[in-house]
Amino acid sequence: MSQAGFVSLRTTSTYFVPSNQVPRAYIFYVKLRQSSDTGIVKNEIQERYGESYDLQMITIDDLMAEVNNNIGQFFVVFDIIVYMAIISATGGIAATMLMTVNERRREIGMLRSQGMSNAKIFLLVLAEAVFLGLVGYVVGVVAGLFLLRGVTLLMSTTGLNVPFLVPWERIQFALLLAIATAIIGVTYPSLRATRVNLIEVLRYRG
Amino acid sequence: MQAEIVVELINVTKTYRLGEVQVQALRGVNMKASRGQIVAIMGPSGSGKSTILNLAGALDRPTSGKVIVDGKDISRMSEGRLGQIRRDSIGYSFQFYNLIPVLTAYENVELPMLIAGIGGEERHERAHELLGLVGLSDRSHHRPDELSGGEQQRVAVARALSKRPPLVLADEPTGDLDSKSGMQVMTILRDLAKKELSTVVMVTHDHQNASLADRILEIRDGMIIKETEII
Repeated sequence: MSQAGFVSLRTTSTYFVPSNQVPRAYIFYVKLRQSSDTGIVKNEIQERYGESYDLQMITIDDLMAEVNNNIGQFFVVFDIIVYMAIISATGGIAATMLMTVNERRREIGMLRSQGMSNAKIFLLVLAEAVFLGLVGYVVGVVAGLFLLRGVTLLMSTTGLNVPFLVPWERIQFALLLAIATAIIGVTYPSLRATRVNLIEVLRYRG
Repeated sequence: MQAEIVVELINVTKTYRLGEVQVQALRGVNMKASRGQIVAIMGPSGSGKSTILNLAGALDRPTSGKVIVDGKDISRMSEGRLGQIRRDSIGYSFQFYNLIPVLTAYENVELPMLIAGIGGEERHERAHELLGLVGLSDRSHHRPDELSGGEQQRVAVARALSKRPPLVLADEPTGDLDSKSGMQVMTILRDLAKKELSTVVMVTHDHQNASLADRILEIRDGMIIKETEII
């Protein structure tokens, strides 16, 4: 803003030049009285000077809408990445736990032969997946905070001082998401664990 | 006074379906064992020995007939109720031990008691007592892969008896051991069962092991063809 100044409409008129001449100023900020209607003033300036001075009129509201729109689009990309990560995490947990259940069929069979109920077997597998999800959550939050700190430091080197704020709400939401992802991912492997054929797995070695 | 019957099979048949073929594993088996008795089941492969053990052990249901364990008819019980019978009334010893590899000998013996909801102090005392009785006090903190086959089977025997079940089922408990270790395990199993008044039903191919039982049942083609009392 050091290269700009606020001037009256009368003064402004002396700096306007027709579009075929070299301008003495490129950008003019128009400050209105609080009671004024931005749209009416904008239209009036456009009507009076728009064509002859090749003006482009932008109100603060237009500017804010544009900025918000750009930020929104930027974050849509991030949201898509997050949703894709959630889907692949769910698949990853399902695959990992299916493998685990398959590798431990004999142990699961042994537990069931000792009278452990299907509900407890289900919970056992579920607990392991939730634990995995929580480990991933902690690693993800710590890595995310380091990344955020890195980005804010990088931006400050370009003159844009963006404060480093810990997004507590998002972190809490991510905790619920991590648990929900683990539960969804492990449901099928847990059911598989309760359907292990006892006779088959206990009789043979390996 | 008549001895208390712990396990009884009445006219039990079991038919498996293997694709299009029906295989009749048991054809009307009758047997019973009273408290503290050791019964050996002998017979060739495929004769139905393990099927009897699976049915008596609440791991499977008969096609027809009745299976009574500790006074309860388990023939038509739901999977949940069968689980409770396994938890409260039955101990198992398998040919390949089936110990949990990440748990120590002590923890493996403790596990059935944990599942049965037995308190911590009682579990601790009982696990140490049993490991002492099978001669593994000094190996209690070793994992299965640090134990020999004979030692693992002794842990499995201690585990089978840990919750003081009225019925212990042993599927070829010495099948994977050399004769010396096998005899040692069998002697421990018999002595412990007699001491604790547990009924043992075991499947074996070994006549020497079977001679330690009170009764030998010979099975062929799904039927008991001979019963021998050992005096």
